[in-house]
Amino acid sequence: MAWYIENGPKQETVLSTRVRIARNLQEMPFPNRMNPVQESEAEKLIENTFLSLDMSKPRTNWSIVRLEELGKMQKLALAEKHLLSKRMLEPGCGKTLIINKAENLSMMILEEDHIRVQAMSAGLDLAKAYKEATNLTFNLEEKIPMAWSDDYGFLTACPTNTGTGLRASVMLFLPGLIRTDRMRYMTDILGKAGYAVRGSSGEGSKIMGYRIQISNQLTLGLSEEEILRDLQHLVDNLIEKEEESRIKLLQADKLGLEDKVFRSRGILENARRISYEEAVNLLADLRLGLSLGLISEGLSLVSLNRLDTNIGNASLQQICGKALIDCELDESRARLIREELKGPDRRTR
Amino acid sequence: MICDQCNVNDASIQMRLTRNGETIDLNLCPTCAAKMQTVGGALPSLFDSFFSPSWPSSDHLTPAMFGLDFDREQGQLHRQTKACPVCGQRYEDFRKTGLLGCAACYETFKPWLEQVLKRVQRDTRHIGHRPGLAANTESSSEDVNNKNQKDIEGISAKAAEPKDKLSVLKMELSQAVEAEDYHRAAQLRDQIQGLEA
Ligand SMILES: [Zn+2]
Ligand SMILES: [Zn+2]
Repeated sequence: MAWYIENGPKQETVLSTRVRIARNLQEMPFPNRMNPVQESEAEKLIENTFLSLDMSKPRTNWSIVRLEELGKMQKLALAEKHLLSKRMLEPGCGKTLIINKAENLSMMILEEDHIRVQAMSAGLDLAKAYKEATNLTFNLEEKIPMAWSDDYGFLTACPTNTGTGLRASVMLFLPGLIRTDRMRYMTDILGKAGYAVRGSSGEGSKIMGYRIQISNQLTLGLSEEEILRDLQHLVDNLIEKEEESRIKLLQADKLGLEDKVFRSRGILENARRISYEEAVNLLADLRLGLSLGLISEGLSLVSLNRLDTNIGNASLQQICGKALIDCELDESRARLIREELKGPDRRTR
Repeated sequence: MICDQCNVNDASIQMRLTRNGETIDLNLCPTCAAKMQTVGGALPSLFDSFFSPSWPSSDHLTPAMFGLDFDREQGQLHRQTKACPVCGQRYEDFRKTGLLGCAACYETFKPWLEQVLKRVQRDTRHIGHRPGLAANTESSSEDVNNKNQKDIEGISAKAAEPKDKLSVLKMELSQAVEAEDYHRAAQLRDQIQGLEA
């Protein structure tokens, strides 16, 4: 099972955890100043170094993806799984992506920095994601001298990443805080404390399905452990507040909430066409209903996780094996959701 | 162009703000511009964010992050001609793209960079891991993993320490004040004073 379908710790509030570490080769200009000769030299060096590591064996556990060989749709599907950054969708940005089989550990080569290692895990698990990302990073550091200064630590193209090069983020599911309108205060406070608060698809995206991504903005002047500890601590705090808010919602109008959840289920189980945004929002109602014990029969978190991963436009087209136009997309999405929500027992009927 | 305030919407409005003799030009989206107009200079949080050090709400540098002092203190001419001897990146490129061109750029643009770092980072000096930490011993990766594992296990344990408790309380206090729950705010204030004593 791919990592994003599994359930992880605190899954009712934290959908996933991601840790990204940026590194650059000491001897080369950063990607924004490289010429094509330097680019291919750096690309080869990083890739060959990776292939010389014990962890790259067996080779069949890893895919090496050349971005220039991918179509737009394939790239989008990778972006929907957070394996490619939005920047890398643009032609010429990013060269190679190395991904393990479980798709939880990956390395982008020649994006904004030469190397960006990324590890993801289900639920809230900063320790696990950090451990996996550093394991690969340290192995590379042993073989390649990285851009480093005693003052500024690991040097990156953008000064917002320098120092540790570490960006840790969690994707939170916060229906309680959002519906009770407490998230507004939180966002303000978090911003002042040095955290970025965003919609689910990263920078510039809007909030859908009560999903909010929080990541550390500060990478210099704190140790890696402090960065992770502070974020952990913050998320623990948010989880507590979210749980309180969900109970408040329930106490305020249980029947109203139940009504909303069951209506959403009704639409999802019967719709013949559904847009991505509508689907994400209605599925979020089911996720909330499940966590509050309002619905349980024939519905599982794993089903919801699988749908969340598969209903994006690009992923949907990969599943269908062909390019789809808008109304076909909405139609296939509705069908996929109906099938999944029927559940295994009801499906055989 | 993206809005300098929210970093989300497209900016379609240009606005010049002046306060205490300092001027900054902003590119704003209609929503943020409207907010800015209705509050004038009255809502400090929104206005101050352009004049005091503020953490970036973006992974990239935006014009606001370069700050005012930055521009005023450095001679215009000197800045324009300054280029990195190693990679050729000019100050203007840095200002425009928010990106440095190579490791040596950190030296080349040091005075300006330090200003930027002060605004967008906790501190201007690195205190985290050093490279090749794993390279010291033979069975190194395992040691490092263990070390990291230990460090990380400290995360949850340390969360309960007084210093962290304090920041939670302070966070709650500002929320309580904002929500005008003064009874709760008073309780929190006492707890904070107790811890700080
Ligand atoms: Zn705006
Ligand atoms: Zn340079």
